[in-house]
Amino acid sequence: MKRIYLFAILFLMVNATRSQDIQMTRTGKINFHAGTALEDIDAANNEVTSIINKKTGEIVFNVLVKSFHLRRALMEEHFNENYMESDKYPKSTFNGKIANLSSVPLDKDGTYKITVDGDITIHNVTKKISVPGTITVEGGKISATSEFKLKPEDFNIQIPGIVSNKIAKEVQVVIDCKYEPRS
Amino acid sequence: MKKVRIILIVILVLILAGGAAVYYVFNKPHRDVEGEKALQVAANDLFKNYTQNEKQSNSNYLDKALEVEGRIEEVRTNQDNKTVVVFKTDDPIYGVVCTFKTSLANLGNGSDITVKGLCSGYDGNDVKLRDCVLVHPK
Repeated sequence: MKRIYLFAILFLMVNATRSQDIQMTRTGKINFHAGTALEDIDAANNEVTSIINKKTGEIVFNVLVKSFHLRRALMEEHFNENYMESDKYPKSTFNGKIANLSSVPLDKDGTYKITVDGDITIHNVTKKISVPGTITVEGGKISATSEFKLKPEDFNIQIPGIVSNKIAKEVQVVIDCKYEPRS
Repeated sequence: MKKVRIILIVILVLILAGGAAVYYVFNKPHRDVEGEKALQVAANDLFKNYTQNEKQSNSNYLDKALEVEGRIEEVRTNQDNKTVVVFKTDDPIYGVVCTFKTSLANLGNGSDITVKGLCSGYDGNDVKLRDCVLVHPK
């Protein structure tokens, strides 16, 4: 009987530390800039869910394509219907890890440069990427920012010739997430 | 002579109409959820349906205007200064997350509200609604 209690307590303790290791946001921000000198194409999504595991360095992003807002309704329509096909593929994801976790003390306040390696899935195409980022820990809460470029053609997104000089060959992605311990 | 003039006027009218049509399509307004007829669903049912059958739920709800009723678990403000409400569900962590068009005051945890918004789908954690407006209480 005692043994069972002991196991129960141990189990609870293990779970408690686990949930403390996890920080989450549901209002993460991802912007992208896909315009050229001929046309501004800027999109913003403030509804991104992202989860960081401090212990393992794992980072997950779950992004709903339809939550991107573009300046013009017509642009938003083309983005969803012609390029991302968001009715068929409503979700984009990233699953990765902080590669230099051993030199990033996520329990200590400070600002750290990170490299994140992982799999990104957009338009149902998965690719391995390695991107730079910055993590700031303040009062135990993590914030993360990152900027990198992606090519639409790598994700099987075809840009028709008639608009090809209005849409950038490389799309700049800007991430800004403020995490909190998951309750 | 009269014929030529009529033809010219007709061509001019066509060009103007064409130009106006192109201008309208190019600058057409964003969807306004307030004027759309919405499907009514309880937050817990919406979440349950999505977690049990995402594909079927997408064909029922994705990109549709939904009127969702539920109990507030959490109220937040996003980086764009818009109000975000998380509805309670049977799941201890995840639920239905609604981002409003504006910043709203006076929404308290635990109160029952109804919101109308566009469904962006299920991201593997939560069901998300965008461009929401408050239906009840007014």
